[in-house]
Amino acid sequence: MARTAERVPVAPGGGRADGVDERPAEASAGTAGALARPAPAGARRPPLALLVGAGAGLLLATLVVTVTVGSADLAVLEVVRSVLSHLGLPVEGVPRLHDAIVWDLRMPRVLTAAAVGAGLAVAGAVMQSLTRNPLADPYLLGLSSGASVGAAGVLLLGLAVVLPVAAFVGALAALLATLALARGSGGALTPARVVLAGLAVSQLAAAATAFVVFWTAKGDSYQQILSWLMGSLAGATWGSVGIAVVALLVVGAVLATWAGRLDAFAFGDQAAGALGVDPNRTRWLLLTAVALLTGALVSVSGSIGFVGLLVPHAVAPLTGASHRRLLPVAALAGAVLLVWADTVARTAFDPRELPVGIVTALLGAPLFAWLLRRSRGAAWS
Amino acid sequence: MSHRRALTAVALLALVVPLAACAAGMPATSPAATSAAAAVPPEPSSSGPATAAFAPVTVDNCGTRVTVDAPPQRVVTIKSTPTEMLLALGLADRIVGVGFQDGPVPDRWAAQAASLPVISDKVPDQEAVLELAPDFVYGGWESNFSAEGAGERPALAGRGIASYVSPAACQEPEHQPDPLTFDEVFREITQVGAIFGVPDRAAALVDQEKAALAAITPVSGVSAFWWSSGNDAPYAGGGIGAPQLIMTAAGVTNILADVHATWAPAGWEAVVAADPDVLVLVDASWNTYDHKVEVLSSNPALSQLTAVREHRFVRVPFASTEAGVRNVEAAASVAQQVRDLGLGG
Amino acid sequence: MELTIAGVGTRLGGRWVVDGVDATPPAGGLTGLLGPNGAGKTTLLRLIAGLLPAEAGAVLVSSDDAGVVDGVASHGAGAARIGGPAVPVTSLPRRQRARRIALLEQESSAAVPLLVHEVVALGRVPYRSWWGADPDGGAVGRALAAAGAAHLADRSWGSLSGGERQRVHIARALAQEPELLLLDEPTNHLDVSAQLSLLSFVRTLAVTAVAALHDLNLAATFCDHVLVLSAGRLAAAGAPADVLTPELLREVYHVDADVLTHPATGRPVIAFSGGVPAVAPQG
Repeated sequence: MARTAERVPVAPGGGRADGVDERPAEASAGTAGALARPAPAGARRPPLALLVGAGAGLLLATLVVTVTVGSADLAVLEVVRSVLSHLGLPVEGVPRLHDAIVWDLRMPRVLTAAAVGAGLAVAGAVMQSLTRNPLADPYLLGLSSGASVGAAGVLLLGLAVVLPVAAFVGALAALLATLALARGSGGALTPARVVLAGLAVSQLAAAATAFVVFWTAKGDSYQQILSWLMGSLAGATWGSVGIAVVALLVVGAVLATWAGRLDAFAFGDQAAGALGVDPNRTRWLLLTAVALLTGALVSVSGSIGFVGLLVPHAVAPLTGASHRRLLPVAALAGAVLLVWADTVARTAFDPRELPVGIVTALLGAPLFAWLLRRSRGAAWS
Repeated sequence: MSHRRALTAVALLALVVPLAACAAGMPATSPAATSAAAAVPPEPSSSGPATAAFAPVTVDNCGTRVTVDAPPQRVVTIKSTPTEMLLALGLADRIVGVGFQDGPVPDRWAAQAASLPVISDKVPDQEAVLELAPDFVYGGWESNFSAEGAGERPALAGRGIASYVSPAACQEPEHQPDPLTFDEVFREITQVGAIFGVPDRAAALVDQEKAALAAITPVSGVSAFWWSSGNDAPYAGGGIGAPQLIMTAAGVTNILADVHATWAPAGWEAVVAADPDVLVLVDASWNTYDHKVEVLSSNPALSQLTAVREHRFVRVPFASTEAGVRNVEAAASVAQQVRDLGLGG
Repeated sequence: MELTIAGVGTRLGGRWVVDGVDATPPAGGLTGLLGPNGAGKTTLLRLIAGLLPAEAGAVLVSSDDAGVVDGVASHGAGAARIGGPAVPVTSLPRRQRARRIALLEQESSAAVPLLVHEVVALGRVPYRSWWGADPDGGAVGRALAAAGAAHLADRSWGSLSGGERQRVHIARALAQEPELLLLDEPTNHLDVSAQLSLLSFVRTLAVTAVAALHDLNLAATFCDHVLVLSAGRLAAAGAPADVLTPELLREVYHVDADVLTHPATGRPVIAFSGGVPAVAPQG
C-alpha cells in the first residue's frame, strides 16, 4: 500500500541545508528514523550470482532426477547409459524400447518442460511490468486463446497444417488484433488499454474455440482438444525442444538487454521518458517479444496456466523487482516448477496421464494464497 | 395439427389394439405403426408373433424411474448403439428420427437405416426432438439428455416422453456396471424388448448373441493396447468398460486391465514399456484407423514398438466399441484379426 | 547548461495550455515557476524536459560540447552560447537528454516494489551499457550521499516517509548527473522543516534548477528568479522582490496581500489578507 505522506508536525529540526528528516517521535506507523527501526526483512538481497548458481544447480538436479522417473520402471543405470550413448560416448547398449522411452519420450518432454517453464515465467514477469498489473500473465494479449483457435482448427476441423504452426499463427493473429484494438490516437499503448483489449480478444477467441468444439464434437473427440486447452507436454518431441529453446534464448536475449528499460517504468511513463526511455516504443517492442515467445511456447504445449502468473511473485521477494535480477531467477524457477509439475502429471496416476495444466492449476491456487499471506506487503503490495 | 391427431390416433390404437388382440389372440403390431414407414422385413431370428398382453413396464434406468404403459411407437435415437439395438430387434419402423450417429451401420441393416430420418449430425436440440412428437427418446450417453441436447429427463417426462439411456453408459458409480459383462449387455436387450413389447424377439436375439459368443475361440497369450482417440496422449480402453469386455471375449490381455475406468487418458510411455503384441485401433470419423497408423509410424518412440514394426494392427469400428448389439461381433472380429496376424494360436 | 525558453507553446485537446512563454532561467540558479493550478506549470516543465514536443517556439539548450548532437541548426532567437550552439531540446537523442536533464514529477501513489538504492539506480538508466552494466559503479552511492539519504539505501520504498521519499527522488535525479534539474512541486506533502531543507539543499547544487512551487513564500525565500504563469501565458518574470507585488498577486492569484521585507534576509515576505473574487472567469 502507498503510505499517506501526511506528517504530524514535530519539534522543528531547523532548516539544515543537508540535513536528514529526523523524526524522533514519529506518530505515523512505521516511519521512525532508520536507527530506531531495523531494515525490513529482505533488505539485504542475496547476490545475483548466488541465486543464479543455486537455481541452475537445482534445475540440473531436477532434470537428472525426473528423466529417471516415469511409468515405465527403468533402472537409473539404464537411463544414464541411454543418454550417454546418444551423446556419443561409448557405453553398453540399452534395449531398443527402453532407449526409445528415455531418448524419444522422456528427454524431449523434460527439456521442453524446462524451456516452456522458463519462458512462461519470464513472459509473465515482463507482462506484469508492462501492464503494471500483478495479475497479468503471458496470455493476456489473447495469445493462448488465439493459439487455441489454431489448435482447434487442426485437431477438430482437420486443417492440413502442422499443429505448432497453426497455434503460432493463431497466437500472432490474436496479438495483432489486441494491439490494433489497444492503439490509442498516435499509437499510444497504455497499460490499461492493453489489458482491456487483450481481454476482449481472449473472450472472442475463446468463444470461437468453444464454437468449433461444439460444432465438431463427435464421439470422444473432445478428449483431444481438452488436453490441449488445459496445456499438455505429452506430445513433446525433439522438435518442440528446439522451438522452445530457440524462442527462449532469442527473446530472452532481447528481454535481458531491455531489462533496465523495464525498470524505468516503475514510476510511470513520464518518469520513464525522463530517464531516456521511449515508453511507447519500448512497450510495443517488449509486447511483441513476449507475444512471440509465448506464441512459440503455446504452440508446443498448449496453454499451461499459473506458471507465468505465479513464478514472478514467488521469486520477487528474493530478487527484488529489478529486472536484471528478476528475469534470470524467474526463468530458472519456472523451469524447475514445470518439470516437476509435468513429472507429477505423467506419473501420479500411472498409467494414466493428466494434462500438466491441471497440475499447475492445482498447485497454483494454494501457492498463490500462501504467497499472499506470507508477503507483508514487501514485494508486490 | 394433423401431427397431433395422428399421434393421438396412434396412441389410442396402440392401447386398444393390443387389448383387442390379446382378447382375440392376434398379432399385436398396430396397423398404424406398420403403415407409418416402409415395410421392414423382420430379422430372421427375431420374427414371430409378439406374445400376449402388454403389461406396463417400469425400470430403474441410471437412477431415473421409467414407466412405459404402452410400447413406444415414435422413437428418437441418439448415437449408434440405440439405433442399432432397435434395428436388431426389428423395430426400425418405430424410429422417427436419429441423431449423432457414430458411424455407418453394418451392411445387413444398411437398407433400413437409409430410410431413417436423420435429425442432426450432433446431439439434436430439444426443439428438433419435440418437433417429431416422439413418445420415447433413447440415448446412448447420459449427457445426450442435457438442456442443450435432447432435454433433461424430468422435462421430457413432464411432456409425456419417456427417456432411456443405455444402462452401460450410466455415469453414477452406483449405476455404472463395474465391470461391464455380457450379461449386462443382454439385460439391456431384454429390457428394451420388454419396453417395446417384443420380448420374444429380444429373447431370440439374446440367444443368437450367446451362441455367437460361445462360438468364439479366444486367442491366448496375446497382449493388446486399445487406442480410441487422442494423439499426444491416447484415450485408451480401460479395465471395466466395453473395450475390456470385447478384449476378454476375444482372449487378448489388455495392458491397461488394472486401470479402474471404462476409458482413460493414458501415457505413451506406459504403452512403450509394455510393448503389447497387437494394437487395437478404433476407426472413428474424427480419428481414423489410417490416421492412427500414421501417427504410430511417424513417432520416433512409437515406431519402435514391436506391434508397429510388424504392422500388427486390429481395426474396430467405433460404433461397435460401446455396449450394444455389436460387441459380440467385435470380439469375434478381434479374435479373427489376431489369428490372421499369425498370433494367438 | 544555458537554457532559453523561446516563445514555446503547446496545445492539449485543442486548448493552448502553454502559450508563447519566453524566459531565460539563470544558469546555476534556482528559478521558481509559479502560478495557480491549471496555469500550465507541469506542461511547461515537460516542454523544457523535451518530453512534449512544442507546437510553437522552442526550448533551446546549449549543445553538449563533449557529446554528440544531431546536427540541427538552432531555431528562432537562439544565439550561440557558452558550451556550444543552442539547439532545441527535442532534437537531442533521448539518452543524451536524460543524462543532462532530470525531471522529478509529482509523486504518484503507485506502489513501487523497489529498495531505495534500486530506485536511485534508475537514475543511471541513461548511462547503462546494452547489458545493463553501469560504467560508474559508485554513482548511486555518491548520489545518495549528496542527497543526504545514504542511511536509507537498503530500506524498501514503501516504508519511507514523504520527506524521505523526496530525498530519494533527489538522489535519483542526482544519479543522472544532470546539468538541468526540473522539479514539479517538490514540496508537496512535506512539512515545513522538510520544505525548507529541501529547497536550500537544491540551491547548493551546481545545476540550473527550475522548480514549480505553489508556496509563494518559499519561492520568495529561495528563488533567484521567478516565472509567473497565468492561464498558460507568462504574467511576469524577474527577481522575486520585483515580481511578487500585491498587484500581481491580485491579478494572477486573486488574493489580497501585503509584501513585507524579511528583517534578516531582506527577502520579500508575503502576508495574505484575503481572497478577491475573480473579475473575469479563469481561462
